[in-house]
Amino acid sequence: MRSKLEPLARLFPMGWPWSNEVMGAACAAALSALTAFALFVYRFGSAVDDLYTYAPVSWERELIPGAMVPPYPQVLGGAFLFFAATALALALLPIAHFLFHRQGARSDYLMRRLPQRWEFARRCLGGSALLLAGTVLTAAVLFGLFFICYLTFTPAGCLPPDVWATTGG
Amino acid sequence: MLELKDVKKTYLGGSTALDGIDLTIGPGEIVGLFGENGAGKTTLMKCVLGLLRYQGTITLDGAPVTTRNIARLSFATCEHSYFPALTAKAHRAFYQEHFPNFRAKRFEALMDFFQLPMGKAIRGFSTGQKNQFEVILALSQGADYILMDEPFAGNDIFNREDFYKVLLGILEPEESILLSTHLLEEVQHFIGRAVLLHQGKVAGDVTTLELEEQGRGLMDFVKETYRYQADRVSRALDHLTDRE
Repeated sequence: MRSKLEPLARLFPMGWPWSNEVMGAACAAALSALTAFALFVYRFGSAVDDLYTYAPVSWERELIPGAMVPPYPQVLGGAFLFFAATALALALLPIAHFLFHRQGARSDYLMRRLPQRWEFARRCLGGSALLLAGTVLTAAVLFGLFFICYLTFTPAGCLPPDVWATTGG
Repeated sequence: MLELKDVKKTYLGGSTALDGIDLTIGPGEIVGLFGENGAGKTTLMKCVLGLLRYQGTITLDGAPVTTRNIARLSFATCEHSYFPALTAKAHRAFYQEHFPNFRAKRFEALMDFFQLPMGKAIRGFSTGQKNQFEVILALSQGADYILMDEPFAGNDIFNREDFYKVLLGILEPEESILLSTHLLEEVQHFIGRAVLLHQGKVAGDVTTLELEEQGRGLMDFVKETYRYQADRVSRALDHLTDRE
């Protein structure tokens, strides 16, 4: 596995435990995805449940006339907060990458006098940017999938006129 | 030829580190850069390498120092510029990748001479070994101008002596060295020229041949240039002990 990821090492500072960072980011993204999924299922399930009532005699579930699920952003609530926290941590990592070049020696002197102009920037920013992009992409895919579920599993006629209402439509 | 013209450096807060330095170092020259602490030696080297912003011009064979010719300059600093977590072997690979003229044979010969392990992370080296490794990298980069800033700080005398001998033995005729150090007497037979900095200015510039012809030692030259007052210690002691 590590050998397949080896080219990624070029996006991190020399000597930086990059595989730990990749693994950490992957775990954080997986945890964020699980949390988002659980929160969405719980909140959307509750919203769909609220559309129904039970008939007084037969106790069969039936739709409440005129009832609608909340707009999509409200259903999501804070489901993506873990993704936001992960993204923020990844966005701050380049600072740690830069400071790593000043730990125990001033390897930033060497990096700054390399003939390859962008080598230093690539090694400080590249890895974090890639992991951040991966995290954002995962979040975007889940956002889309959840939206498809929202449209598909909401009973007919129960969608609000503006599904994006709280985001300004 | 490395040429500095009217190079000035003022730090934030207004302190002037370099105050109009004019200096030329030709191919094959071994130049000692001397001066008291704060004279501007380190700042001068960092300006040459582009690590600090400065006013004035610094050129390498007439061209400004950019990524196109920066590989012709190498740097060994007492602050160390290697990667502590990497082994010597990994450093060799990194240098080979980034510096097309890297002298692998010289690197291996020097590693062997100083008996430094190739497979051990540099952070596990002793202080002396770290200094040696820093200098080995600078010498092996394949640069024409090798800048060394107090490279032997922390090394014992035997270590340093070895280094001077090895340096003189391995340098190619076109390789130049700019060596900043306080160890005047030690390097006087190694260098060919001495440049003295004082308060950010070139206070003296002389070849060791000129000094020999004048029958003066490097230390005499430095003391004269700095107008060293030999009796200052006894005067200070008299003052402190209230002697008549």
